Amino acid sequence: MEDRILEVQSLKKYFPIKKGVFSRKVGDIKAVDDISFYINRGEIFGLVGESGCGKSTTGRTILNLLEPTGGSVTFDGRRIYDVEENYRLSTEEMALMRRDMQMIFQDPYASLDPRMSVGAIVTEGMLKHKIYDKKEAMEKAKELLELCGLPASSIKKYPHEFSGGQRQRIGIARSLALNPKFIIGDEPIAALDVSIQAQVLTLMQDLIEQFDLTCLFISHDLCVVRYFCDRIGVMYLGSFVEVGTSDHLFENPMHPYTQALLSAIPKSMPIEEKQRIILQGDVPSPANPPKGCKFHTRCPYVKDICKEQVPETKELETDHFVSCHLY
Amino acid sequence: MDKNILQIEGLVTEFSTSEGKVTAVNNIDLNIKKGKIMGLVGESGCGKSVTSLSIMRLVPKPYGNISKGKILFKDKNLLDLNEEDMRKVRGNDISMIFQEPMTALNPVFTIGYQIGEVLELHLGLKGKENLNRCIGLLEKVGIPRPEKVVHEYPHQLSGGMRQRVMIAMALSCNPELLIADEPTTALDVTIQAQVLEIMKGLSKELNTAILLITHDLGVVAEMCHDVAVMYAGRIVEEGNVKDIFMNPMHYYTKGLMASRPNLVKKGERLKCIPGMVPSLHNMPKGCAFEPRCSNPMDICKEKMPELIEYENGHKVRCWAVEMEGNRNHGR
Repeated sequence: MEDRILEVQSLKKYFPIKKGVFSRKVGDIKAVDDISFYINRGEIFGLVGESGCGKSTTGRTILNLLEPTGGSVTFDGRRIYDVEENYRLSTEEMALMRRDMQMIFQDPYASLDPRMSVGAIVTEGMLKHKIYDKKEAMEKAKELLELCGLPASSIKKYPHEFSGGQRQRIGIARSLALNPKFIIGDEPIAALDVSIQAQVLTLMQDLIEQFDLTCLFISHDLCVVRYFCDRIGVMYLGSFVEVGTSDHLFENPMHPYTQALLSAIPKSMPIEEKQRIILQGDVPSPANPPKGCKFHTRCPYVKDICKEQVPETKELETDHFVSCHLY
Repeated sequence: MDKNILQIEGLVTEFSTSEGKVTAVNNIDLNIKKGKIMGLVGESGCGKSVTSLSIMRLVPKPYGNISKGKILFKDKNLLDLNEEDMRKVRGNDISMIFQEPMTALNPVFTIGYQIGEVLELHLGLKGKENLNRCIGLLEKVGIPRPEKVVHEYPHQLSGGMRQRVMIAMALSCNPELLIADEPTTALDVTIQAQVLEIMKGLSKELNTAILLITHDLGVVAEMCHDVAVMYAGRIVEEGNVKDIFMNPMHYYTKGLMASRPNLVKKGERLKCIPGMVPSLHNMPKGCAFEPRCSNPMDICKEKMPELIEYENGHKVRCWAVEMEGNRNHGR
């Protein structure tokens, strides 16, 4: 029996669009629109899609950092919230829960407070949760920083003294400080140089193994996701179009959007022959998504039914879910 | 033999900072052939962008200074031109596309005004003729409803559309050389594919040479005929795109190729280059890559290797490769 550490049920997050003097609500931006998935313990789940498709919002809403509009999230057997049943953990319970769920952010320049020393950044959580006293916490911080490939003497330094890759290591050390079970990496390597990306990626791989972590890995880089993740969900305009194991998805992409996305990856060798599907136009605005299948405006196989009806999600192979009228 | 459209010889660009002078571009030679796409690859801070700014003579003054070298464009040294003549070259013979299309376009003028400005300045087109040419250019780069877009402002367009407007502007005077500085880095993959396709097509159609600056080896594999790899202000390897990808010789290039996750199988460990790029203030005495190299030798610490041509125009700056070559030669 699979052990599901995280279960997300029809999660929704709408941002209101306000207009006029009285900030009248005139509509919603459906950033995350009814997505469901689960992550097994010890698994790395990848969330891919183009910018604005709702990947980061999904991550933040799961952690209850953004107020959910609908749906429920269960973590490690406990419900965090269930909007339909009007249930949510109290603030204290949530704070306790957060120990087990940590986040690594994209921009290593914005996610570290420039006025705090590295030691203070890494120990903040431990002190807040009163896990260690100040001295122990500092020792622990040194240990973590060394684990992340930084010298222990870094605790006295400030973020501006470090390069982007090193800052990201600090962010990773901070996320591990509370011994979490689950980590959300929100494009943790997108802002880094190629050679540094590989370093941070292998570091994350080692730590995930060492600490027995489960990871939700948000990225727009398909090559990285294929290499790094066990299962992958492809998002388009706030919904999943396809979810499957990374082998299934890359060897046998079913949804036309996934196919186009994969074909758009630049080839890895100059001699490689690649059949390219060039999508026309841009991603429509999530404030006014197309009716029916959201992808129909750019889909090369569009049929009449696509413009009217939202396709159902079907399991076409074991653990390979596709939402498309073609199947 | 293809004719060179641009020849850079021994270019040195320096910046004065509060901590002393740094050499951002150190003795670079680069040839760009007519109608071909040349890739310039490297990590941030390796001097790729400064090289491109030097060609356009846009190195920020007074901190930056081109202290040595020649930049020959059609056998004419751009560094000898006065500011007025240089202005005639920019946008006309050589034009440039930048990474961030939002900051490169002026938010308070319409698209038509901004493209039209170039046309008026260099070609003297005015009024209706100018407008029609603008619409034609927008159409060429695949912008839908160009007759509307020409009257719109940059904020009304998406990132991919803006980058296409930049390309239209850059190509408005049929330049012979286009410098594209990370043109697709800020774009999504599907939009990147669109933009690259357009650039490739136009380069072929107008016989424009492109200097494509990027850190993405995939984009290079996709687009370029020739590649130069830069590290810490110097070119460390140069050659035909196939040679560089199939047979990388410098340990930095090898490392870059190995750290790309697209070729590594799942479960296999990603190889990575340890350490970081050295600070320009504090360069190693010998080879700049020595501290990170997987095969360092004693001589690497002492002396900078030369960029030596091996076969088929494949040039490498590495002691290990050089010694290997000598040994084979002596046999």
